[in-house]
Amino acid sequence: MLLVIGALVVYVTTRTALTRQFDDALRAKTTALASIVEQEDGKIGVDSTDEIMRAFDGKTRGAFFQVWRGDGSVAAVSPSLQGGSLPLPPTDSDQPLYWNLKLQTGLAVRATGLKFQPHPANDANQPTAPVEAILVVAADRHDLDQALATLALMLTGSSLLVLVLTGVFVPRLLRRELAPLDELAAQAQRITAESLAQRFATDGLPGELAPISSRLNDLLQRLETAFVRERQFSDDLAHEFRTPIAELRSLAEFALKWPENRSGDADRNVLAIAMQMENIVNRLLAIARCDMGLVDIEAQPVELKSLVSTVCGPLEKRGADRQLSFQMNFPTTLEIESDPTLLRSIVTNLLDNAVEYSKPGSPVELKGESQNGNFTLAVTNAVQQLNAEDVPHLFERFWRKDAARSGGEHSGLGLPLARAFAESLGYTLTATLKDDACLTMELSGLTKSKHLVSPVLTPT
Amino acid sequence: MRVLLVEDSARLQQTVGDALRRSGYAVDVSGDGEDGLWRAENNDFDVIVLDIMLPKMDGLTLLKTLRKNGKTTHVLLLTARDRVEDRVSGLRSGADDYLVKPFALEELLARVETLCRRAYGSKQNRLTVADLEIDTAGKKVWRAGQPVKLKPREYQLLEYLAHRPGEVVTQSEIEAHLYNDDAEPMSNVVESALSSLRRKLGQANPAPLIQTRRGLGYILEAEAP
Repeated sequence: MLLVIGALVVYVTTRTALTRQFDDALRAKTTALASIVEQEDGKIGVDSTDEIMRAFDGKTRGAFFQVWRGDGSVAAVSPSLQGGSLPLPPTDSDQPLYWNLKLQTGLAVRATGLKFQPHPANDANQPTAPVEAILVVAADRHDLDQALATLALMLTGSSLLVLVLTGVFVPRLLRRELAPLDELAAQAQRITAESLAQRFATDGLPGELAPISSRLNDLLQRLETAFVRERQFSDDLAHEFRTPIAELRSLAEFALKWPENRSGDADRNVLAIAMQMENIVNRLLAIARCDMGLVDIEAQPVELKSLVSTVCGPLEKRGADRQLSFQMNFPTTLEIESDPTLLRSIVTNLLDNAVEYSKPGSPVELKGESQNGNFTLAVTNAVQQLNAEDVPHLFERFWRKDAARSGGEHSGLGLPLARAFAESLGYTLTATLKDDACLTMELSGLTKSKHLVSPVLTPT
Repeated sequence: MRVLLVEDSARLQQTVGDALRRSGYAVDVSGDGEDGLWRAENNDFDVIVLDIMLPKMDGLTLLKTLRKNGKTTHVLLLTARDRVEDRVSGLRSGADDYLVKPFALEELLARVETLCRRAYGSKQNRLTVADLEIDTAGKKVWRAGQPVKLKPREYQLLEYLAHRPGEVVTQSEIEAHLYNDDAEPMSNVVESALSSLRRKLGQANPAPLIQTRRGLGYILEAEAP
């Protein structure tokens, strides 16, 4: 469409320019001719000896004129008309007027008219009455029409040629140039949740596509990591529930099969299993709320040493059973701004972990430090069968050193929950292991007057 | 029949162990892999019900060690892992069967029973010796067409003998297969059970079925006329 419009614009512009050029030449010829039209005693004649007249003698093809007196009678006709005549201008206008017409001989010409007063023939000093004359000059427009027709033909041919070339070669060219992009699209279509390990080819790609392929591979890497993590979590979650469900089902089926053997122990076991599963679900929901930034935080002044002491109380008996001793090392007062409920939960999980996994007979050190307005709480205890490779897994959901996960009292969610709460409060919770024997959990970022906000905006 | 249950969940130990005992099996229970391996290697069990994820030593390592040491006891793997590769790995490690948690108690009992039958080369759940018929699936006994009511331990003793008809079974073999480590395998326990069994079988037909080979053991067969 654009091609057709472009061709039309070229044609119209060129035709206008050529026609104007033709008209200018015709007007010049008319003016020159008017200069040799003379009047004498009311009679109008043309000086046939003038050089200009050679163009109208009929030997040179294509130029015609006719002169009328003011009363409309013909005063002179060019020999080239060979007895024919030209019409008067279609309108009586002072403006130059050009029009096309056909002579009696069938020749297509373009004409222009001029109304003027011929100059006196002889002595210019003799006064004469003004006489009006009308001159019409016509010229063969064959060359102009031929040029315009040739132009139209060339433009049409060129347009058709361009269209054919566009229709035939451009799709091939595009196909060839876009083949790598098609291949990328095909590869992307083949990738499913089960084939996230695939990567887009980067060798042999055009320079423009190589960065796109590389970025897509980065995206796939992130997706694969996230999928593996979520799949592992789903597996862990399913596994975590399979054993308590198996216990519940066995208890129920046993009671139905041998009702005479039903005992209070079975009911107590059912209750314990239900509470264990409820605990897992509650912790998972709490972690999910932290991840989504839905945790309500109520900041108020908290005395850290006092809070840690209240957490230690209930754990002392369990600690004593394992010959553990709590060693508190705090400045006199350590008042911070925090949410006491979440902070207590963090400290409880850290101490519970220390009591459960400390080497029997070893101390559990609780240390609070203040530096430049920032406070740090560290829990350090001696551990057994823990190595550096285990440390990064400590905060993973359901991770336990012993894959058997027996007992059911520890779900592997305590430390992940502590870290989730810590991050919600804007704190950092890290674990470091020294000499495969001494584990330190450090909670940092606590401040005296910090405006606590959840790190993720709460959705409305 | 004697079964070893190696399972770290105390509640499953109790429930599954009780269900097996109520079904007439002598049951030994172990809570970790190392203890389970020791018991499996030092006793003669008919079936081992084995959890995979165990403290100290996982079930697959236990199983491989057992097979490597030449123990062919039938093993039923009991685990929370349900992926195909887990099952294939378990079976290739030498397990005879695989059951995923949570499971139906009846299904576990049926699978243990099937493995017990397989231990004695029998594919049928009906044993016949002379006019004695035993339905091993329903744990029912008929003598001369009349039902015989037996206690679980008596039934297990009779089924054990019926799996080896006409063959002398020693008292120590009976003790190894029918009594767990918690029981005190005194000789009069077996004799007392045999005496009770003979009396109950004799009510339908006085012709003795369980013969004593003095100094050797016991044999289940009709007395030659």
